[in-house]
This record gives sequence, structure tokens and C-alpha cells, in this order.
Amino acid sequence: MEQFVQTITAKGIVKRFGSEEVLSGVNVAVQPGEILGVLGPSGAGKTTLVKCILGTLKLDGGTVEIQGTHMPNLRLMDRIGYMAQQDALYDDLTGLQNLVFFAQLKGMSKRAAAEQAHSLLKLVELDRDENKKVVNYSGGMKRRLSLTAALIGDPDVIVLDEPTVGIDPVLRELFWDEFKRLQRLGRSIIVTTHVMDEAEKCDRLILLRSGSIIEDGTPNELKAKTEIGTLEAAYITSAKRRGEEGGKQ
Amino acid sequence: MKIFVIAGRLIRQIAGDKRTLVVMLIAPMLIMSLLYFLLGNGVSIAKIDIVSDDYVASDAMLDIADVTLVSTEQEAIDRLNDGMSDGYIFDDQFVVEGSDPSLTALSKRAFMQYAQEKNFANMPPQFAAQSKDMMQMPDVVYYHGSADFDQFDFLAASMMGFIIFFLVFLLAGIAFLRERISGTLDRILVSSLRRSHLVAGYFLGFGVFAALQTVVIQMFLTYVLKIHTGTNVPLVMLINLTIAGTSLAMGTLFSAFARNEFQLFQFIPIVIIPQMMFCGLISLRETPQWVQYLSKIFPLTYGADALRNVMLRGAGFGDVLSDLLIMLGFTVLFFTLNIQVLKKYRSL
Ligand SMILES: Nc1ncnc2c1ncn2[C@@H]1O[C@H](COP(=O)(O)OP(=O)(O)O)[C@@H](O)[C@H]1O
Ligand SMILES: [Mg+2]
Repeated sequence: MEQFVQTITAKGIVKRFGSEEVLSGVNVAVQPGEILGVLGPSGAGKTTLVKCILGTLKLDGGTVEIQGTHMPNLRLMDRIGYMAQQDALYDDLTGLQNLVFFAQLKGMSKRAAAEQAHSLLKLVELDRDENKKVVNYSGGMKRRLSLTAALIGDPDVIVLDEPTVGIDPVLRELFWDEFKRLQRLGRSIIVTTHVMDEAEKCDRLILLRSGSIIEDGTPNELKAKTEIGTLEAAYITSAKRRGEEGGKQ
Repeated sequence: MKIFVIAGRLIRQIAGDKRTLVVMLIAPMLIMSLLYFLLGNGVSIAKIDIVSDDYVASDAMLDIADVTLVSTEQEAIDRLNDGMSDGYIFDDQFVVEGSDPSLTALSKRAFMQYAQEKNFANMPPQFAAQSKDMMQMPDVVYYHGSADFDQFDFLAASMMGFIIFFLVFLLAGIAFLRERISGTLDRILVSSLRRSHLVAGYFLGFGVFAALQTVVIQMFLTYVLKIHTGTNVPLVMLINLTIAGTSLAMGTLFSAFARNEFQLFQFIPIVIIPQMMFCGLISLRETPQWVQYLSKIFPLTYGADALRNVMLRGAGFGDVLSDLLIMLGFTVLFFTLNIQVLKKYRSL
């Protein structure tokens, strides 16, 4: 196996909704065992970008390759785990039923699915509530279940859209421990966020603003670009700088 | 097979939701019972006042009218105004209330009877007897149906098709809509599931409930309301499943053009109400040609026609094959469109 094969390579992604260009030529590359953070204010196009990478939105330009295969490709879809910004769960099924269903769609047998579902539910401390209907879950419980739904089937590529929005610090810690564990297993992870201290934990960051990448580098590289030396400052200064450039044009 | 995974999930969801189950299985019985009592026991006797103090109603008259003798015309008018009678007879005057055509028709029959009896009374007796003989109703042979069919027997077949169509349209449409708005559609499409298998899974899942509904309605009609449902139960089942399939294809397709449940309900006046009117509840025989052409673009027109032919006229598979094929054509059309619309979510 080549050592430097990228898990995800997206080149020149363009996406329009009507006349509005939401992504204008975005490049993304993620290696095995890497956590890529996609940072940007609300409306920057983060969700649109991950959906374009997943192939659940039609591209207006550019290409996406996953594990060297041109996307969209049905077989590869089973190798991707996706946690949407919404919880995207079936309220009238139990937690366990939800997981088994998503796993079966990924081609797992019912038995293997149930087995893996149990261990994942244990990991996020939902094992005692696995037979409760999701409609009776709290917000935090739904986020945890939604994460396990993305992890079931042991995907090589994990795409998490604002996974820690609206959850408490303890749970956030638990989530990041899990992301790091998956990273050590060699999974490729894309996390979108607008929380700065979370961005610190990524291996590499891209700053997205109005559909373009305005910065790309490790958290430390980005911090070095400002005098104050925090990511927040880097984010704000680069956003401002871009804004001024845009104004001059 | 992923079709079964989708279908299994839908069945689990519906079976676990008591409200949906009640709507699917109990509501049809309620609607049928209501119609049964409203139509089956329709008014068949007119209330007629006669201004007279010595009139004796004949048996023939009592069959069709509930006769009350009053002493003055004013009294008859007052009773008419109070809704206590549908019409009155005063000497040679026949007055009818006139706002409800069916009551008017019944009153006219009573007036006719009265006039005839009066004529006979003025004839020489043997003439009268002869005339009465000539007025006898000839024996009527029922080619289909029977003498004790009432309006409900005729409508029950169409209504059964309509109820199944309506409920499947709503429930499948809402289920598919929720899939879009909750984000689960995006999630399940991040897998090797084919779009066509997704829609096919919906067909299978809701097909099970449509079958169950058919059995429940059929049993209810046959054993509780004791109306004529024909003997070809498997064929009725097949027609109903075809209706459910068309309805599901329409519901899931239309849900793509709604952002929320309310917007889906807004399709009801366009998609559902015309089908109700065209499915045989109202005879189209004397409507303008364009109305009859219009009825042909609605799938339920064919489904209801097939159900009536099988349940009331003892038609067999060959007789309703063309109806079934047309509905199948509608289904394939909507199914294909739906799979095209789903391309918006994933191009493969
Ligand atoms: N389905 C859609 N139709 C039209 N516009 C959309 C659609 N989805 C997103 N947008 C627009 O694209 C822009 C980026 O949205 P999104 O990717 O959700 O941003 P983020 O996830 O960074 O908050 C927003 O201006 C949003 O209004
Ligand atoms: Mg978003």
C-alpha cells in the first residue's frame, strides 16, 4: 500500500443554490488517521461542504475521491459514517432499533449489528436506555445516539457535522476522547465546528468563510499568524483581512 | 435485502404507534358505519297532510307516505312551515315544501297515489278494477344486485377504495416527508442503499398495512354491516393493494414538494377531493364530456370501478385487468418520477 494515499481528496468543489454560490472552488484533503476541522461561522457553507463530500448533494463543479475512487460510488458509501447536524433519528423506534437499522443498511447482518450496537451504546453510556424510544431521550442522549449511528459499521471515513453543539462539557470531553481513539485506529475524520477550543484539538484546520477557504494549516500555524497567539484571534483577523480585500475589489 | 430492512422498520414504526394503528384500522370502520346509517336508512316515506275529515289512507298509500289529517288549510301551512310535513293536499291543490329534491320526489309519489285513488273512486267499479290491474308493477329480474340493495351497498365498494387511497397517501406521504425533514433521508443515503430500493421498501411496508386494512374493512362490511361484498376476496385484496400502491407512489412523490406536514395537507383539495368525487360517489353519466375526460386522469376512478364490478356485479380477474393495468401504469410513472426527484439527495 502507498503510504501517502489520501483518504479524501476533494478538488475545486462548487455548489450553487439557485443563483447563490455557496461553495466556490473548495479543496479538501484528509489522510488516514487525521482529524480535519472545518471552522466557520454559521452560514459559511460547512454543512453544504460535507454533504458535497458525502455525495448527498449534487456538485456544480469539482470532484471528490474517497480511497482513490471517484465519488459518488455506492459501495464506498458503506465505508462512510455520517453524523448530521440534526439528530436524524427515528423518534418512534428505540435507540437500539435505530442503530440496528442503520447498520443493516450498511450491509451488516442483524446479529452483528446488534452486537456492535450494544458495545457502542455502552461506550456513550446509553446501554441502560437502549430499549427506550428515542422520543423519550433528552437532547444530550440524542446527540450520543446520533454519534453511535455514525460509528456503527466501523467506517473508515467519519464525517461529523457540529457534533458537540448543545451538549455539556463532560459529554464533549467524552466525544473528543472517542474521536482521538478512532484517529489512532487510522480513521479519517472531518469535524465541522464553530467552537474555538474544539478546533485546537484537530490536526489540521480549514477556515471557511462565504464559501471559500481563507486559511489552511495546523492550529499552531494559524495561531502563529497573529500577535495574540490564539485561534480565536487568528480566525477574527483572517476573516477581517479577507473582508477588507473583498471591500477593495 | 435492504428493501426488507426499510419495510421492517416502517412496520415496526407503525405497529408501535397506537394512533396510526387506530387511524388505519378503526377509522375505516367508523366511516363505514356512519355512511351505513346515513345512506342505508335514508328517508323513504313522505310526510303528507290532507285537509279532510273522512279520508282513509289505503295500504298502498301507507307504504309511501305518513298521512296526517288536518282540519284547515292554515293548519296545514303552519305545519309545513314548522317542518312537520313535506307537503299537503287541499281539494285539488297539491302543495310541496320543495327545498329538498328527494323529499319532493317522495311527496309527488304520494300525490300521484292520492290522485289515482280518487280517479278510481269516481269510475264504475269494474273499470276501476281493470285499471288497477294495469297499474301493477311487472316482475323485475335483477341482472346484478338484488331488490334489497340500497345506496350504501353501491357506495361501500367505492368508499373502501377511497379510504385506503386516502389513508395510505397521508401516512406514507408524511412518513417520507419526515424522512426528509428530520435528516434521516441523508443518513440512510450514506450507505449502499439504492434509491429504488428505498421506495420499494416503502411499498412493501405500507402494502402490509393496506392488506390488513382490506381484511378489516371487508370483514366489517360482510359480518357486521352485512352488506354485499361479493365472494372474490382475493381479487378485492389485489385491487386494494394496487390502489394502495398508486396512492403510496403519489404520496411519497408529492411529499417532495412540501416543506412540512401542513404543506402536504394542502395537496388534499387538489389530489384527494377530486378522486373522491370521481370514484363513483356521484354518477358522471349526465356530466359534460370534459368532466368525464377529467375523471380519467385520476387513478382511483379505475380502482373504484374495479371494486364495484367485483363486489357488486361478480366480475372476475379478466374483467378488471384493464383497470388494474392502468393503475399499475400510474404507479410506475409516479415511482419513476420519485426516484428522479430523489436524485437531488444523491445522484446514484
Ligand atoms: N437546500 C438549500 N437551498 C438553498 N440554500 C441553501 C440550502 N442549504 C443551504 N443553503 C444556503 O447555503 C449557505 C450555507 O449553508 P450551510 O452549509 O448550512 O452553512 P453552515 O453549515 O456553515 O452553517 C446558507 O446561506 C444557506 O442559506
Ligand atoms: Mg451547518
